[in-house]
Amino acid sequence: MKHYFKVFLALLNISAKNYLEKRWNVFGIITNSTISLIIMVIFVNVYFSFSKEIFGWTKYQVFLLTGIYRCVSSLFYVLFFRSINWIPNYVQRGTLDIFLTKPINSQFYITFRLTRIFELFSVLTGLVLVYYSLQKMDIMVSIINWSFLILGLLAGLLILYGIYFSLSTLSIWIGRFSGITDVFYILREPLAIPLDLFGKTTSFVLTFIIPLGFIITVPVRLFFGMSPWYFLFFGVFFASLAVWFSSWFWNFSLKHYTSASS
Amino acid sequence: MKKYWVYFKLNFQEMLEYRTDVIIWTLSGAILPLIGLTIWLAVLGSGAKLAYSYPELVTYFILAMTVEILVGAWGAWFISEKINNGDFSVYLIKPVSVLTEYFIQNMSEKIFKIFVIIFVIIGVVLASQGKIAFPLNILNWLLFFTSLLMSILIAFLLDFILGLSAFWFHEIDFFKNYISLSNQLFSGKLIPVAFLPATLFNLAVFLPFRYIISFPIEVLLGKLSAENVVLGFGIQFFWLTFFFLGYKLTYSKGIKLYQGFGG
Repeated sequence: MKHYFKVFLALLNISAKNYLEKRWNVFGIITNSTISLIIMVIFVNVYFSFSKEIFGWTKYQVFLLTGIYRCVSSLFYVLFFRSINWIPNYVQRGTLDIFLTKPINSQFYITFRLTRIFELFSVLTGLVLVYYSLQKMDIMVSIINWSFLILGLLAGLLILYGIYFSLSTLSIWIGRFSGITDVFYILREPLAIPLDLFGKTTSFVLTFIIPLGFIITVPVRLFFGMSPWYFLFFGVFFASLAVWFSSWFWNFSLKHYTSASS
Repeated sequence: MKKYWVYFKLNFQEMLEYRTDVIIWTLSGAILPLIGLTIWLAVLGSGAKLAYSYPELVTYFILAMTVEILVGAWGAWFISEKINNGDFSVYLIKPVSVLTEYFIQNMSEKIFKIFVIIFVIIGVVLASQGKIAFPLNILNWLLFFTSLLMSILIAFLLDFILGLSAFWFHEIDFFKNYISLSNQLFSGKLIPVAFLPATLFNLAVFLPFRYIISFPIEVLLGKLSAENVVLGFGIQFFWLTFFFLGYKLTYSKGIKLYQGFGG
């Protein structure tokens, strides 16, 4: 365990230094996440300029959800996104071999190889939005609801990880998979709005069949007491399932991996 | 003419190797208009009064995703990479200009994307129980296609200039992000321009983004007065000229700075 933690820190360090090589990167993150924060605030304001309530959600509840969405998606960028994105590239060029021979779990190593610690700034902009909406709503939230939210979001992050890692692993089977970034985009964009907006049938499918709903919408609903408490356990169940599946599928696919270069 | 045809055929064959990817790229172009449609139908369902009825909203966003696919341009990143690593030198001795080559490649990929988007459209029509409102007025369709053609060229030139800006800046990712963020706000693919508050609406009228996606659709759906149609076409033509001259200028100035590292 200690060994893994040391490797994680070393990888974090290397990624951060690599990232700073391009002088404008940090400036880019700060300006970009600020602009996109402003645009999200404008969007929510425009939607609610026509209606006080949309399918049971009030303006500041949606603000909070938007803030949470920014936190979770940015945290995903910090930890996993770039690493998972590179899997198809390793497969296509045959550079995957070198990671398989290292004396460490290959999924662990690949998952944390390319972190983006500076994206934490975007997490901060999300927190600002969460704070702002709580101020505006002026409600007291119990410690239980807070813990529901945080545990639910942790489960959500793992669900997203499991799904995206498994999809990226598909590249071992199809060989060429340049569209993987866009797969993430397709998965991520609907999360920015409450999934209830998709109507009863679609939101049921997006919650219990493809558990995207458990990434953000359900934790936020738990926070406001809009969903029954045991939904948290569904979330934890789906998270375990997603992570277990990603690991099983990774090992299963590796057995069929035919190194491209050698 | 024959050389263009050869380029087209080569690109089309190469693209067919990327079938899975092209399907995904098409869907990712459709996702924002689909979310926009979801939100606005929900707003309408919550009892709000909107300038668009249910069938009009469905039609608007079906058109928005189609136009989004048709105006898509993604060459900037490849061009900037080639400028930075010296591969750009190849274009200096080819029989067709780099602009033409990318344009042909762009068009050949879109032909395949159109087939994919048809399935998405069928899905949307079924999900909305066929409540759509396409106008049958021939003049509107003529104006739509004229405007759409300009939209395609504007989007392509904007992206191309962005790629060429690598002659000066080398890293263009931020510019690309700024443009795509402004595009989200002003192009009408999430929020129809008519729904924007006055200040933003006025900005949208003069910025180029509305003329990439929203304007042809507004014209087709007959949502604009005659004066606004004329004004819109004027502004759209201005941006087309502006970006074409911009391309000429950046290319001729930039190529003098080009050093062909490692080439």
